[in-house]
Formats: sequence, structure tokens, C-alpha cells
Amino acid sequence: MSSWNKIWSKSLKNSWMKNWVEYGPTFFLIAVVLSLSVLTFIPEKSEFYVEEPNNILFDSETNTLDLSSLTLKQKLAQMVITYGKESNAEIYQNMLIGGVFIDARPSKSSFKRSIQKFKDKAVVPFFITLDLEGCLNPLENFYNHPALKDISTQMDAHVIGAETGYILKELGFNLNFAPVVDLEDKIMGCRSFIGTPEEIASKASSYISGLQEQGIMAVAKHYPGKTLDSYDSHQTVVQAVISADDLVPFREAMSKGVSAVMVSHLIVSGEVDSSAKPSVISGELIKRIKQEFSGLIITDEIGMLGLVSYYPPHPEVYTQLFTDLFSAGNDLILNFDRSPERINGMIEIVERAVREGKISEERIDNSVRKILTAKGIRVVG
Amino acid sequence: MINLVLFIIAVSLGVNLLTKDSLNLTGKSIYSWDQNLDQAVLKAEAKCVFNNQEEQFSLSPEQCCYQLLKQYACVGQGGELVSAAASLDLGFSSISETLLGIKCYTAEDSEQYFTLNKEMLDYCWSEGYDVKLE
Repeated sequence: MSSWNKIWSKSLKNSWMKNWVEYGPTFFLIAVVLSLSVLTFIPEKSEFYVEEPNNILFDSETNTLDLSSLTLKQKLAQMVITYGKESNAEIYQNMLIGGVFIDARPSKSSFKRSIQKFKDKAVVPFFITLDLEGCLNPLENFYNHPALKDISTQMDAHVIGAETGYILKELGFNLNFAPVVDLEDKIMGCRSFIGTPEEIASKASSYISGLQEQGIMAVAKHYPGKTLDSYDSHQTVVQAVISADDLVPFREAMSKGVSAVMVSHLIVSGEVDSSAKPSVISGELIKRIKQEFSGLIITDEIGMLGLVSYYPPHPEVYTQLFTDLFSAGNDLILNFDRSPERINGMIEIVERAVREGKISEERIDNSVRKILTAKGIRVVG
Repeated sequence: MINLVLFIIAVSLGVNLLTKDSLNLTGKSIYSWDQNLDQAVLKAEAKCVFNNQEEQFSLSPEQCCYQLLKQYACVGQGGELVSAAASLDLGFSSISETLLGIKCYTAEDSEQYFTLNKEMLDYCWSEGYDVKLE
């Protein structure tokens, strides 16, 4: 019996080994292919996640926020307005992003639905913004807005501003990146008022009062003018000479209480000098605005006009750009990148610059105070 | 023979995985200069025209991306010859001979809309703008 067992076991062992030698590599390769297939086709999970903040001392009854309860990163996030993709609502609420930009929608209800997603659960309310600047109209599917070039009188400008303000309020907006107060629009031909600098100034101011009377913050843009005038397809960041006329509508708007001024990417000289740098990163130019204006200072969208191409090609070019944008004194940075992760990347770069002493935290706090106050929040701490 | 086929498949899957991972830059390194090489090629070929009733204006890629972001939708239109732009001399001298196959608008029947080519759209996407192509 035992000899039969030995023979059987030997033959089994030989057969197993023979099979392994013959088919082993095939089984191994099948296993490798299966594992790699699983790894390849597993849906990618975004690693970027921000937890709901629980450190904010905000008394909703008195609408009072303790600034010292915010982390540096949260304060920097308050200084950013980004593209308001609905699927990013929660992450931007948790990051404490300052505002979102809403693009065109097919109906009033779709605007209201999108905006509500950002308002729900927001610890600190967002600036809910759009670009209804005349000419191109994101509300076109249900509301007609004339091009600014077709608004002929100051009275009309006020009425249209008020009508627009009314409908924007109804939809849930609180900030419109309008009106353009550049003296001429040579790029699209329709976004500037027509007339002498004084006429443009008075129409713009009337439009602004109309908007703001309805509770919508207006933005006079693009300081210091000539932004829609300068075009060179071979050069992205262009230069312009600013005249006293260019400044007339801005001065009028500032003195009449416009909520914000948007600063352009142009390198300017003449009546206003940006020290050979794009206006938006020129600390000297922004300091000059602050001398006569206490409202918000907003950058033009930072992906535009190849702002980054102002810097020599270098791996750290974005670090330099973001640091310069925040250190120059802008209160709000417009970055319409669709990726929350990249928005977070920008904030982390600036956070590092503050920690390294390149930007003072006091300067950041001043901007955040202005932002929160503009949102109607009482700030302490 | 079967082992050779399996080996080739395994290598292909491995290479694919490595490539996939290398594109996933995250956090602080996400803003890098390297990606600008491909973008420069796209940018050179990108074309964008703003149509306002009878008028047409050629826009630079950066200006165009920002405007496209604000539109409700972009649709393929099979290539439309933008002939009226022939008289414009705003940087793209050959617009009149260019088929711009994509139209972007805030409302379908709007008199103000953009026409652009695929390179323009690809450039905007590569720059991080959320341009919506239906």
C-alpha cells in the first residue's frame, strides 16, 4: 500500500511541476495583465478634499465674524473669486472662497438653482458675480440688455442700471463686473459708452447708482483705461500711455461711491505709471488708487492677456506671479481656473510667501476686513 | 506565442499607467512651466472671431478664452467660412480662408456670438478655462 502511495505521490509531484514549468509563466502574465487592467480602469478619485470648517467664530444673529478665528489660508481664500462650477460648490464653501463667477444659463430658474447651491451651507457668504457689461449678455435667454454703446443719455443709463440691478438681485447676484468705463472698446466694439470723457463719466456713474440702489455692487473697469484700446496679437501684455481723459470716468465713479475698481494687466505710463510692470502687480499704482478710493480693488482675470508671459520663462514663474498679485495690494484676485485643486495650489503658494515674510499678514487682514465689510458682515478681532 | 501576447499587453498597460500618473500633478507643483510647450503650439494655430451683427472682430487667444468661459454653450457647426473678416487686419491675416468650425453663444439665436477653431478650444481647456462644448 505504501509503495502505491509513494508512486502516486511522485507522479502527482512530477505532473504538478511539469504543469508549472509549462503554464506558470502564462498564469503569471495573466495575473499581471489582470492587476494592471484593474489599476488602469479604476475611476480616478480626486485626492483633493477640504473638510467643513469648524473654527469660524461667526454670530449669525448679529452678523459678526471674529477675523482672528480664520486661518491664514482661509483669509487668503476670501480674497479669491473663482469660476462657479456647481459641482465645486461644497469644496469652495469649505475652502472659504470669497466669491464665485456664474456664466450664462438658459432660464431664470436655472440661475436661481445654481446660485442657491453656493448659498446653501456657506459659512461665510460668497460674492455671487457675473459679467453683464452690455453687448454680451449672460441673461440673454430671458432679459434684454442694450450694449453700453447704445445707451444715449444719463437718464437712460440710470434706468437701465436700476432695471439690471433689480433682476440681478432677484436671481441672487450681489456683484456685477460692470460697467466698463474705458473710453473706447476697440476689441469687441460694444462695451464702452459713447461720448466725451465727461459724458462717459456721467453715464457710467448713473448706471452705477442704478445698479447699487438695487443692492448690486458695481465695478468700474479696467483701471487706468485704454484696456480695450490696445491690441497686438504678437504681444500679450501690452503697453499704453494714459492721458488725463482716461482717468475722468474712474475719478467720477470713485467719488460717487462705486463699490469696486478692476485693475487691468496693461503696462502703463503717462498720467498713471505702473513702473514698467503690468498694472495689476504694480504696488505703486495700487497704492495710488488707495489714496483716493477706499472701496475694493479687484484684479482682471489673471489667466488673461498672458499675464504670466510678463515674467521670463522659469519653473517658479507662477509662484512669482501669485506672490506679486497678493503683495501688490489687490483685495480680490480673479482666477477662473476650473480646478479647485489649482485654486488651492495658488493659495498655498501665497500662504508660504506670507509665512516667509514676503507679504505681511496685516496687509492680508486689511483686504479681508474690506471684503467681509462689503459682504455686510461686522468684523471684530 | 500566448506568453508573448500577454507580455506585450502587460507592458502596454504598465506604460499607460506610468503616463497616467505622470499627468496627475498635484498641490504645489501643479502650476508648472513644462505644460506651456504644447500650449504654445495650440496658441499659434488658435483662431477666434467675435461676431456682432454685421461686424467681426478677431480676438487674441487669451481674450477669447475669457469670453468663451462666459458663454452658455459651444456647438460644432461643420466649418463655417468667415469671409467678412477679410478686411480686418487685427493680427490673423488669413481669417478669410479659415474654416472656424465651432460657434459659442449665450443664447442660441443671439446676434453676438463667437466662432473659433478646435485649436482655440483645446488651448482654452489647456489653460484651465471651463468652455462647454455640446
